[in-house]
Amino acid sequence: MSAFQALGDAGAPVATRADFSADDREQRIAARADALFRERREHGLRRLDRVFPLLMLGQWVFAILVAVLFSPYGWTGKVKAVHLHVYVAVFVGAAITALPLALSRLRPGWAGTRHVMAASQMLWSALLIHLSGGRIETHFHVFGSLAFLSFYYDWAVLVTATVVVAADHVVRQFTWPESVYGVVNPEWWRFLEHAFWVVFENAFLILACVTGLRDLKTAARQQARVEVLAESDELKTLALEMALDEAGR
Amino acid sequence: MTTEQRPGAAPTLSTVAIPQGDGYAMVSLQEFVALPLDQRLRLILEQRLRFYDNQGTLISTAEGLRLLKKARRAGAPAAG
Repeated sequence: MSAFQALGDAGAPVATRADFSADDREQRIAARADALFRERREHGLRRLDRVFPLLMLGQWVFAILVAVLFSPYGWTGKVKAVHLHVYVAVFVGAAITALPLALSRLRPGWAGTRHVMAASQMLWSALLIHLSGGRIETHFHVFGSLAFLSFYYDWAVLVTATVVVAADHVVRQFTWPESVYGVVNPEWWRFLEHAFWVVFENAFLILACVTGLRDLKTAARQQARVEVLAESDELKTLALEMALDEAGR
Repeated sequence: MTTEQRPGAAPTLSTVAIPQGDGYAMVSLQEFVALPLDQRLRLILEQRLRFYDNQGTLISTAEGLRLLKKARRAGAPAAG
């Protein structure tokens, strides 16, 4: 059989005939894009689930240092002594860090894990704010944490974080305002003001989450298309080699 | 692509699945090579072949064809 006979009964080149399976190729691209997207998403989520506990361990050390060096002054004037806050930093800090650390080992990539990370990170903000005597600057930790949590590309995680930090502010405003605002008589609406700025940041972070996920899908689809076309090209070459081999016999 | 990772090295081709009716039929390499060239080319270009190695693991069409080419050039029985 000659290579020319390989063109098919109707005389149309086989390669062109393969083109009529364009729908099939699109399905293959879609399936591969979906697999690539899931793979990358899973990888990203697992990586963050490993990083957050490291951050929390760092915060734990930082909190103990703050308690030892700053908290006695922040809360009891100029008398430097081992303050209750040192123990709070050690034990409450350990309690906040324990569950995220366990989940990062046991259930990385699980949706519940990242919600626990979000809640714990906000509790870390609350603890640091408390240890610093309610310094307004320490509240910036909340905003930085929200930005880091947005790396999950999961807006629901931001909702969890917001609920936790808002609840913390509300409860402490009405039970122990000095620990959250550094003053004993804040305006009753102070927690609403803080919540507003959190929601303000969330608006942009949620947009970033949605856009980031969309970009991830687009990149996966582009890579899938390149892979499928490259494979198709390679198959054409191999098919041609097969035809030439047999023509040469 | 649709390929699963194969443990171990130096795989050899074992069988080929070709479309038949609504599903696939397993044929030996000799039977595959005995098919008319245009039919084989169409199956390759439409990516409707499924190659399996000697451990029964699905391998990519391109890798299957490379192994088939190597076997045929080495004059193995699979050369048909």
